[in-house]
Order: sequence, then C-alpha cells, then structure tokens
Amino acid sequence: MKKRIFTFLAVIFTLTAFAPFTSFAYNTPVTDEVGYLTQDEVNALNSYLEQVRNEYGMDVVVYIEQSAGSNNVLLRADDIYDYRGYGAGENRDGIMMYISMYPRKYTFSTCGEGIRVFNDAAIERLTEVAGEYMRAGDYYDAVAAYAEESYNMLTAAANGEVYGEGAADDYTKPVAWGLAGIIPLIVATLTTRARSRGMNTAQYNNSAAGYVKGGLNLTTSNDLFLYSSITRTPRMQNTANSGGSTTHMSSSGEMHGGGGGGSY
Amino acid sequence: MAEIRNFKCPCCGAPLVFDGVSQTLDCSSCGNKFEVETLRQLEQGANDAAKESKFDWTHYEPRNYEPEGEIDLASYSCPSCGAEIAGDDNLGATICPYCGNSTIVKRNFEGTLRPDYIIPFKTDKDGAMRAFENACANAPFLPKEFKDKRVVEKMTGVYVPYWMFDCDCDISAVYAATRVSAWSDGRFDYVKTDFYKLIRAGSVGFANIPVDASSKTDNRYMEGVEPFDYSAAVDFNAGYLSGCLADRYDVSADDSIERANERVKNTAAEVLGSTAMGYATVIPENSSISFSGGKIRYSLLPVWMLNIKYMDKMYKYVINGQTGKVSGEFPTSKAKKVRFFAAVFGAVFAACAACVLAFTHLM
Repeated sequence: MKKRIFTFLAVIFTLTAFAPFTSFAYNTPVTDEVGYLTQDEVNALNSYLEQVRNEYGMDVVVYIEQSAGSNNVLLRADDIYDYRGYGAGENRDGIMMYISMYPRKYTFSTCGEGIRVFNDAAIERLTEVAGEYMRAGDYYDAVAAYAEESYNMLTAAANGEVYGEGAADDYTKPVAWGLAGIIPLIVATLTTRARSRGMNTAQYNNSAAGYVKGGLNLTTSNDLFLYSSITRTPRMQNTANSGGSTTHMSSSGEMHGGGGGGSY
Repeated sequence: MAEIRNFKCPCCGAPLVFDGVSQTLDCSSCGNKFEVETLRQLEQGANDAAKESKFDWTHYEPRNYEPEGEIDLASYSCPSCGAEIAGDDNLGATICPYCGNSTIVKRNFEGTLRPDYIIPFKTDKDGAMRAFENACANAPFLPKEFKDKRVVEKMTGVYVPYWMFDCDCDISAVYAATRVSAWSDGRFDYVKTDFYKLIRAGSVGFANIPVDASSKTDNRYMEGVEPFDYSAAVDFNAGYLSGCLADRYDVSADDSIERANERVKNTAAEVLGSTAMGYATVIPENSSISFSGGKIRYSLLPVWMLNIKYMDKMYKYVINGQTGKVSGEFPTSKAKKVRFFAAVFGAVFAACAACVLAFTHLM
C-alpha cells in the first residue's frame, strides 16, 4: 500500500511539474456529497485528475452522492455526467466513477472518446482494481486506484495501445475455435442419438390420442386477465467504431458507454 | 345472513379489499385491481379443477368359452416359458411363438374365457415379411450383412389377448398463462407481460384403448405396433383361429386398468391443453378428471411374432397382423454409426470453421 501511495504521489508531482496547463471546462473532478473522503483526500485527487485532464484532454471524474433514487445507477451516472456538464471538448470526452450510498452501488459511465479508451475490458479492469477497496470500505484507495489505472489506460491509448484490444483478439480466437469444435460435437451427438431411435421401434405409447371418439366437447373456456407488468431496460448496442464498448443512450439522448462496478 | 367471502390476490396472495368507487377488488400489497366477476369465475374454475379425480370402470364379467358349432380347440403349453396357448385342435406340430421352443405340449382344451371381439389377420406371412424388410430398410444403422447372415428362426401368427377400454371422460383444468409483447423507443427496450388464468372444462370420449393382457409379451413391443383398426373387429368366433394360435390372458382387467387410466389422463390433459392457444407460456396448475360409462371388453388382436438369430443373439419382432407395423430392436452397426457421426461432425465443423475464419479476418 505504501508503495502504491508513493507511486501515486510521485505521479502527482511529475504531472504538476511538467504538464501543460491547458484549460477545459469546469467542474472539479471530485464531488463527494456523502463525506466518504476527507477534504485533503478530495484536494489531492482533484489536483491529480485536473492534471490528467490537462495532459490527455479527457475528464476522469468521481461523483459520490447520497441516493440514486429509484434509478438504475448507470442511468443516474449518465444523467449526472450530462446535466452537470462533465466531459472535455465538444464530444464531452471522459469517464465518471459514480458511487451511490443508497443503494450501495458504484458504476462507471463513459462518453465521447472515453467510450473508445475505456472499453468493456477497461471497465472490467477498473471494477477489479477499485472493487476490492470499495468492498473493504477504503473509499479513498478505491478512487485513487481508479484514477491511477485510468491514467495508465490514457497513457497506453496515447501510445496507440487501447487497453484490452490486443487481449480481446488473443481471447476471442481460442474461444471461437473452441466453439467451432464444441458445436459440431453437440450437433453430431444429438443427430446420431435421434437417428439411433429408429433402431428400436419397441416403445411404450403413453398417449391414447389414436382412440379419441369424435373430439373434445369444450364446455367452459374462460381466459381471465389478471394484471400486467412492464420492464424497461436501457438499449445496449455494440458499435463497430467503439472498440469493444457496449453503448447506450442516456435520457438526454447522449451516447454513453461504461457499466461495470457493482454493490459494495 | 349474507355470506362473507374473502378473496385473495391471485398475484401475491394478500387479502383483497373492495373499492366502492371503482367497483373492483384492490390489492394493497401489489397494487393490482381485479373485477369481482373475474375472481368469482377464477374461484369456481379452481374449485372444479381441485376436485378429486374419479375413474369409474364397470367390472368386467368373464364369459366361459362354450363352442357354438365352431371348430374344436386344443390347449398348447410350452414347458420352456410356461405359455398357455389355445389353437386349432388340428394344428399339428408347432412351436412356441414367444420363446421358439419346439417341444410344445398339446392338452385337452379347458378353462379358456371367451373373447368379445377379434380382429382377423389381414396381412399374411409374406406380407408381414415384406413389412419387416421395409422396416429393415428404414433402420439407419442396420449392419449391411444382417440380411445375409440372419436366420429366421420362426414366424408365427398369434392372436394376442387385449383388454379394450371405452370411457367418457370429463376434465377441468386451470392454467397460468402469459402473453408477452415487446417494443423499443430510442432509449429503452420495453417488455410487457400480461398474466392470465385460463379455465377450461370439457368432455372427451375414448373407444378401444388397448392394453396388453398377456404377461408373455413385453408391453413395449405390443404398444409399438399400435394402432389397430377396430372398424374391422368382429364378434369372436373360434373359426378365426383355424390354423392359428391364440394366447390366453394372464393379466386381469383390474390389473390393466392403471395403464388405461394413465393413457386416458395423458391424452385428455393434452387435448384440453391444446385449447389454450395464443399464449407465450401455459402452465397447468390444477386438473381434475372423471370417467363415466367405463366399459372393458376382451379382444384378440392379430400379430406376427418373428424371432431372428443374428451373430449368436436372438432378436424378437412383433408385426401388426392388420397394418404391418413392425416393433422391435434392430442390431446396430457401430461402424455405420461412427461414420454418420463423423460425417455430421465434419460438415458442421467445416461450416463453423468457415465462420470463424471470416470472423477473425474481419477483426
């Protein structure tokens, strides 16, 4: 842990010393309405994330609130991102880590260029690095780990290596070939078994359908409607140009990616 | 004094409260509202479907066999498998149709019960053999050498005893059903599920449901050659047994009732369930069935028993003596089975591999 904090502070120092101070818009990156973080922690994180924004033109933000209301946390995160004006540049590039106290859930919402850089594999990785601390109640460490990992991903993307894209290839091909082996095995087994039934025609006949006299005389036929239920889920779609990101529309009509996270 | 009735919510089971303004019964737990008439009908249907099932069969009264100017019959008994078979007194040397034993013993004819009906043979021995050859041609993994190396031990025409069951059956059932509709707008996918209770009741009659009355024949074989055409059944006359054998029943009508009940219940439920159309899911919740006018009759039905020896193993086949339908287990060629498996596997693998190559090329 000490090593992690040391690395984190070293990065802050480096960024503060050498990064150009380009200005974007301007919500502070960290909002904590609950008090999960101390003011010093908020200040340190704000300082770090503002430098990230200046260096890569991408908002990496954190929003912690009391209650997500009755909303799905991902939709709530999208709305906060959209209506509070997060995102850098005209495409509103960025990522938000959203933490709700009621329900005790967290998630990630991405927008603009953030959808490409923080693809599904990256969101899974962020969930992995932050989730352990979230479940332990170490909120600062969780947010710091998210901030640091996001920085690493942005750095890699700037070098042309979007997180998970190569790995996706390595992973997809064996799975595809595995399925190409398993599917024929299943089909061949089922068809051979079905054909084998023709080898034994001595079978019980549990039906008396061949001995029905006339047909059914239906005397009662009532279809009683009881109630309805409607479920609504955000539309998800894989877009070819989003580099393996699952995307959806927010209530304002903005395209978002993200997801991940979970309960803590 | 007015009857006080408490309805429970069919959705969550909570007590319903009558709302005088909307004239509905409302559930404070799940928020649903129900028409009073709907719940009354539902309660009535559920009560009908919860009634205990009744199977009312008239007791079968056996009739002793008394020759009425017909042919003389004899009893043949097999010391090997214990079969007791009736047949033409002038049949001469014969073998047991069940086990193939040739030392069958002829005895004085006695103690046989008189069947009510008999369906005479319509398919002769050559026709039955042709039907068997057709069945062989349709057996996909039959060894190629089966035709040349098999030895037909014996083919015997036998009238097999069956109990025939007739009944009229009343059935009522309640089903839980859903209808699902889905639509989307720009941002959300919506799925609407409508929940229904379906109440169905009706009557259906059955005639001539056969249940094998001989313990010598495996029911799988005998049910495998169904159906028989009962329009060809005639009143029993021993003259039809001339040159043939006829087994005597050794499974009583009472012992066969359970099998008849099972087949009637399955089919009545199936027929009634087929009226619940147009739903995404239909799940039976309760059902009640009762029989009336249940009659049992004793019949002899014609089958050819064929015993074939192949590669030191005996294969038994039963062929419907009326329709030529064949029931039995054929020997399987493992090589043919493996070749078929490999061919299917290869074809599907080639298609999958082409898809994978196209997919990875696009990536």
